[in-house]
Amino acid sequence: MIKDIIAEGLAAGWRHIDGAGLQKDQHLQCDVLIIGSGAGGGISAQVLAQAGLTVIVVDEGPLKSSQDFKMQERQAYPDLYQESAARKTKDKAIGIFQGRCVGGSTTVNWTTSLRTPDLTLQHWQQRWGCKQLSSDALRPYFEQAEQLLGIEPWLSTNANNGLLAKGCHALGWSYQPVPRNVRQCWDLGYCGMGCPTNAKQSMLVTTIPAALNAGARLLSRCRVETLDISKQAVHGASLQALDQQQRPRKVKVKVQARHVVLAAGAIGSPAVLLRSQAPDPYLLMGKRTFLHPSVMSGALFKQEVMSHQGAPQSVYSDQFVWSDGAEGPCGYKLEVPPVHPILLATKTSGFGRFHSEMMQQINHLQVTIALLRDGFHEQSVGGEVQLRGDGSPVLDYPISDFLWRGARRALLSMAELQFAAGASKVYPLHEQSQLVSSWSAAKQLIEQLPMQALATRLASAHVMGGCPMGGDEKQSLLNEQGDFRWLTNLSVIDGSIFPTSLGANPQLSIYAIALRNAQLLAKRLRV
Amino acid sequence: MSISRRQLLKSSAAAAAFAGGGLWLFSDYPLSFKARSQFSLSAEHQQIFWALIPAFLDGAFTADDQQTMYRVLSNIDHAFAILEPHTQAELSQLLDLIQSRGGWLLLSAGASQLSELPLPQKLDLLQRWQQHYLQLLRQAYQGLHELIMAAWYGDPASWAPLNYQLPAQMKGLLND
Ligand SMILES: Cc1cc2nc3c(=O)[nH]c(=O)nc-3n(C[C@H](O)[C@H](O)[C@H](O)COP(=O)(O)OP(=O)(O)OC[C@H]3O[C@@H](n4cnc5c(N)ncnc54)[C@H](O)[C@@H]3O)c2cc1C
Repeated sequence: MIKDIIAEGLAAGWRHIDGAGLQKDQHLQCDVLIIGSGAGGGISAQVLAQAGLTVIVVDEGPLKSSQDFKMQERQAYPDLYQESAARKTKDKAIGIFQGRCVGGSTTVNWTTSLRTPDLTLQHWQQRWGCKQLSSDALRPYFEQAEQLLGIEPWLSTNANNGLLAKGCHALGWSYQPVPRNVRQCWDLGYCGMGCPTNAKQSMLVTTIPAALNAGARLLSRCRVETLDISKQAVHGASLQALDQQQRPRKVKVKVQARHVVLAAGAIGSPAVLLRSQAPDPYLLMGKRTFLHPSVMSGALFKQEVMSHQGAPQSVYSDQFVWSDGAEGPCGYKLEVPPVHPILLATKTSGFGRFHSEMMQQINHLQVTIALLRDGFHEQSVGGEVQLRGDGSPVLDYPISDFLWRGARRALLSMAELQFAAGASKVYPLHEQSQLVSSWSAAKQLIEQLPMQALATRLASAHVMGGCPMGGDEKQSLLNEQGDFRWLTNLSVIDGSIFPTSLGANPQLSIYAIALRNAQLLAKRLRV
Repeated sequence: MSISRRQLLKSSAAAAAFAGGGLWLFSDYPLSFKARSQFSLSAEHQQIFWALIPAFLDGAFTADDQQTMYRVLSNIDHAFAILEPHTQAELSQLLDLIQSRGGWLLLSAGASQLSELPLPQKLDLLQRWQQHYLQLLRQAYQGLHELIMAAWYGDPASWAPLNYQLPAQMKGLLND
């Protein structure tokens, strides 16, 4: 049997309140309230609790454990994802994947663990005044995070990733192995549905248990509605208990805290600030939210590829990420996704016979994705988090011509790559697409496909920005330690702090900066 | 699907002529369909899905397999019931629009009632929505696509023809 870390911890006396079971309103107190238990919140919880501070971590999602992870999308998506994995940008053109459970997106992510690219950090220094965050200054934190989470290159590659490597090799494009945050991984391929063997070193099985062991309290299924703000300072937050369907209950919770760490993720953190009407003299809140919008390309191979089996991502190519410098035309990173039935069926354009025949070839399908590096060019300003009438957030993300040009080039690169790897047919995911049998036919097709919202299929699992840090108060809401400029007792420590996207998968960047900023905060709060 | 009837009507000058509401799409339930009373979706909304499932999923199972049709419908209903309130409201609006006479005439560009359309015409209609110049129609198409595709392919009942299986190592460990 697989050891259930969560069940054992609860039996041993972890302090956990499930909002769905709360009988009456609560008033709680602590040194630090951490809002969100994902990459930023999890690291902050461990650092601050182990520093001897009394910590409360709150998440709007449920506390689930390995025993609940049944490797089925139909259960995992409603249980573990924001909006049942069907979150969309305002115009519905980009599907957004984000976790909504204890551990946040780290509970469902695909384990790729890459350091922040040097060019990104240089751009932040030069353009956004992030002087303290050089590669050298961050190195000890990357190393610490890598050690904490067992991050090492993963060398056993499934055929889906193997074909990405093969195509790159044939074309002379660069490619690298992916480091992953796993220990004793069974190589199953179901990371996106919650790891059933606890091999993935997500926040759910590492930092959150460490924080609870150090005496922290966890509130699950409690949504922070607003921060309690008075006299330019934050004093805690007002929470809404949620039922098992995540619907609001009558029960409310008030938490009074010396300090609040906002770690509700990009979209989530700006939403809390907007609902709280936090001061924002330069109107930056929620703006410049980035997605690495990703275009996708399917390829049929004669042999079986079995893209749902094995570590989801073990090879990537940076051939086109920086080819014209950080501020040149839109760069893109090539990776592959795990191909499970709901993911494939919903992202594959088309319907009827065509669609069902594609589905029947699922085991022969290789899928490549290209993640567009947004936010570095003046024509790439990202999106804006807004609030709906009911207070829930929505990301308005208009897609610029700059990005569309990148999308078309990325579709071309992927088709070229897939044919070079031996594909018999390629299908760029687009509503007006068709299967093509040669690279020249693919070129012809892709060049005439309209690059247009709700025609080109787009998705994202990397939400960043909206609460930017930086050196200039006119351009940033936070300083480089994550302190909110216009309120005392408030820090933001999560993916929302980035001034641009990263050009790399975000989790390790968040872990490293969270370690740094939570350690600095612990020092300040202990005195 | 932030498609609202008002937005849609505004988008076409000819629309005013058809602006009559009311249930029009299905004069009678088709003989093959019996709405489920315990569902979250209303009988009329169930009926819309009943008419669209065979088109979206043509080729996935045999056309007259009613048991599977009800299974997909039930999965759709389950997904609908747990949608975020704002998405639920948008989807209901879209279904209301499809169900109303004015809305249907616009969406279908004058096709006959949905329940009476033969499969080739339904497929034709889906293609028009899929590639429509109006973003609202593409949104509606993609919303329905996502819901119906997830409802079928998330169900292990759909996996045999795909030859998709959970890893053998996990048999017995998933305790169900
Ligand atoms: C399917 C998927 C695959 C991914 N794969 C990778 C990968 O391989 N490599 C990689 O580097 N990155 C990957 N990512 C992205 C990475 O996991 C995220 O960038 C990272 O976890 C973000 O950290 P965060 O702290 O900003 O937010 P999250 O980890 O998303 O945590 C935010 C938490 O805040 C909670 N919350 C939000 N609002 C509130 C509120 N009002 N009250 C209380 N709680 C709230 C949410 O429920 C959530 O648990 C993936 C993401 C997904 C979804």
